[in-house]
Amino acid sequence: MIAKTTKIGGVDNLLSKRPALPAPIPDYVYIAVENGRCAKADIYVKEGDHVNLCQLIGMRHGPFFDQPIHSTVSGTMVKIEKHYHRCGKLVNFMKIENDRLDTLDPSVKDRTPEEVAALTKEEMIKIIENCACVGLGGSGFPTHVKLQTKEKINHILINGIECEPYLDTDQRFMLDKTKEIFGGTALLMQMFDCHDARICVKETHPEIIAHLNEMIDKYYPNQGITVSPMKNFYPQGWEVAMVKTALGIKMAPGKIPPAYGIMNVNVTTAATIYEAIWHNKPIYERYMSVNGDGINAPSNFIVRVGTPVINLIHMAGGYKGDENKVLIFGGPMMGAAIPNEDCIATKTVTSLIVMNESTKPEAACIRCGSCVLSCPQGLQPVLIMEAVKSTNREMIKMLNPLNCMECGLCTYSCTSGIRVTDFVRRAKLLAKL
Amino acid sequence: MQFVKETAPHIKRKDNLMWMLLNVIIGLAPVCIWAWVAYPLSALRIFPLALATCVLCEFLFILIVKKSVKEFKIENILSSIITGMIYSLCLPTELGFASGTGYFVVVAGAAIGIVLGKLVFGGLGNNIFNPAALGMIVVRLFWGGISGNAAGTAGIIDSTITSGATALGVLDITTVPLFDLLLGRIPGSLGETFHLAILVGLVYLLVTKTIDWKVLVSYLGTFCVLVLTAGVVLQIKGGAFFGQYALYQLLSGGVLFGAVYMITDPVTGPVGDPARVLFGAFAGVVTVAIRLLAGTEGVGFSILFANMIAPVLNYPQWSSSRWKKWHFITAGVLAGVALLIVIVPLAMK
Repeated sequence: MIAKTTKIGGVDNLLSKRPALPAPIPDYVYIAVENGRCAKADIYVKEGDHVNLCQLIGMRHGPFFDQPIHSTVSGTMVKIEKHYHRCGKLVNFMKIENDRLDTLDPSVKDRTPEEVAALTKEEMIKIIENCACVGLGGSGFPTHVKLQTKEKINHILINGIECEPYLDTDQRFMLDKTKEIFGGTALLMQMFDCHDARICVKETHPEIIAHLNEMIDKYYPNQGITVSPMKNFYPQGWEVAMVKTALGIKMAPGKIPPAYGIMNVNVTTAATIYEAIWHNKPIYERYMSVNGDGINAPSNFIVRVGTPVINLIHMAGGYKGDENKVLIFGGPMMGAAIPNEDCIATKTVTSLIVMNESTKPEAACIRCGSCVLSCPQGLQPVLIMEAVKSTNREMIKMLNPLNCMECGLCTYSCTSGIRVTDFVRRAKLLAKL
Repeated sequence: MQFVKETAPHIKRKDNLMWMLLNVIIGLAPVCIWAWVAYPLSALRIFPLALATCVLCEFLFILIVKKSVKEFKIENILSSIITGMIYSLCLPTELGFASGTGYFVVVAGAAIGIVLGKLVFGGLGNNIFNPAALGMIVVRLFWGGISGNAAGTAGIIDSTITSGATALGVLDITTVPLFDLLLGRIPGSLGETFHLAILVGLVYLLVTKTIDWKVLVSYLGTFCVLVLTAGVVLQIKGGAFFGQYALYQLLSGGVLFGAVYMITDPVTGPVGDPARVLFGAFAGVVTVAIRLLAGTEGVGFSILFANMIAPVLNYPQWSSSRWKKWHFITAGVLAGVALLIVIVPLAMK
């Protein structure tokens, strides 16, 4: 079939219509010592120490920032174990036994409205840094680094789009935690002295748009917060596509939104900013979709950070069918497949998708051009693949593979079932040489 | 049950190559059925021979190059069947079967077409030339004389009307029965003349998105614009009504068949919308140029010429899916060249 793919079909997603289930808190939670961005870390607690909920128990050291580690239960530090992290590496995890008391750490204390109103931008960024806010849409990029931009911000976009199939976390989150999202948005507006904030929601969710509008009229009237309906295509949640639909600004490849006076954050990140500044509370639980065609009872869960994957699978009713399974953190288009069940859900994991292995066979490329038609960046994946096969480095450079943001549409739309995206990834490496 | 470690993305579109090739065969079916009904004897002689030759050549190629029978997959069978079908439908109904040379011609054309047009380049997905078009051209160049009514495929219209001569200026086209041309009642090739059946196949191919409409539209559009212009020039010089002339050009020969089934072959064309439009326009210009200047059928040749420039159009600057300045400049140059080499000589005659 020679056709442009804009929608990932065959997935009817109704999770956000049902309430998110509070997942049982496991007996042991696992907190990552290192992660994909930070290779080194200090640990502040010893084996056998008592820890409180939200207590600072370590510090990761990244290339240009430090990231505090907080406990997500109260209980006893047991030991350090190796488990798989979402980045695919085997890393150290702190195993903490849950005493089921959830004793809050004394560092978690509320700020009065006067105190919050008096905070400067630098002070807010410091609080956000101490509460270890990161991009919770899946990127994991430290929020305080993102907020330190020197550019004048004129628009704030709150990303609640979730264009990937099977993902419905943010949709439910927007219905449940509207107050926190608006609170975080108002704080961002205060921080940048900006009077235009838009919450971007897909137009296929009229119930969410109606709910958000109602809440704006009730609590934040005339403050510049509006709801922007977004189109229903993939990849609408990509920042370039979102900025184009919401504001009509076309971003050049390689530019980031602050260069155009735009700050974009995920809805969950906005809510954590609210929690951090009003309550000095780091994130210890989050919404997570457990979904896919290989799981019995898909649902949204409110999960304690540090829950092992095997618990999530049991909560969702176990595997469906005997086919080989692919376990994915993130969406099925861009998410990373994890090696096995011995993996821990960290705070940047938006979802666990269990897919049956694709049975589509790989055949010869007939240059139907579906990948070229579908590529949102206007690249030519099929020619990149041919150039990679013949290691023609000049040709690879001319095809600009570095503009690719790995949305996966070329592989998805390939008539012959070829993993074109893998070739483009290789081209990106070759182009950098 | 095992856990699979694979790279993103983890889902794929539901269609596959086998279905795409099957759709082409289904799209060819109306023409084939009509051919079997209209010329059962010729069809019985041509189809089995051509199909068997194509499949056998493909099988031998796989056996020799890949050294494994397992590599001979269903896609290979289907694609060689498509080649054989298109090739058969392009052949004249009369190929000297009485003397026996006709059988040899069918086999030789099919074998040369699929081997030189496709297999020497590496088989399915790697070919530069449309194998069916190459086979048809080979038959026409080498054995054009033996056909009783080769003009039906090689020339523009049945020999009884035009005597194989060029239509332009020579033929009084008011005598051409356009309605019979539309219905395919004028004998000629096995399948090219059944325009209604071709249109049915076209609808199926477009609905299932098996072919890219941009190539088709730009090819037929360029062709129509040029023959309409030529018709106007001829009418000014005292010829028949230009609309009738254009319809006659469109309905005679293999324009529609080539446009629907041959020029749209994705393997031998470029990728990206602008490149595909330029590709179709180029083929259209060549078709009209050959028809008007050489006075003979130009569809097969134009497809092979266009196949040759497809790798150029696949160069990074050309194959982008967004329209750039260069595409417009090329389109302008192409239009100028078309006017210069097609219309100006006609007006000067």
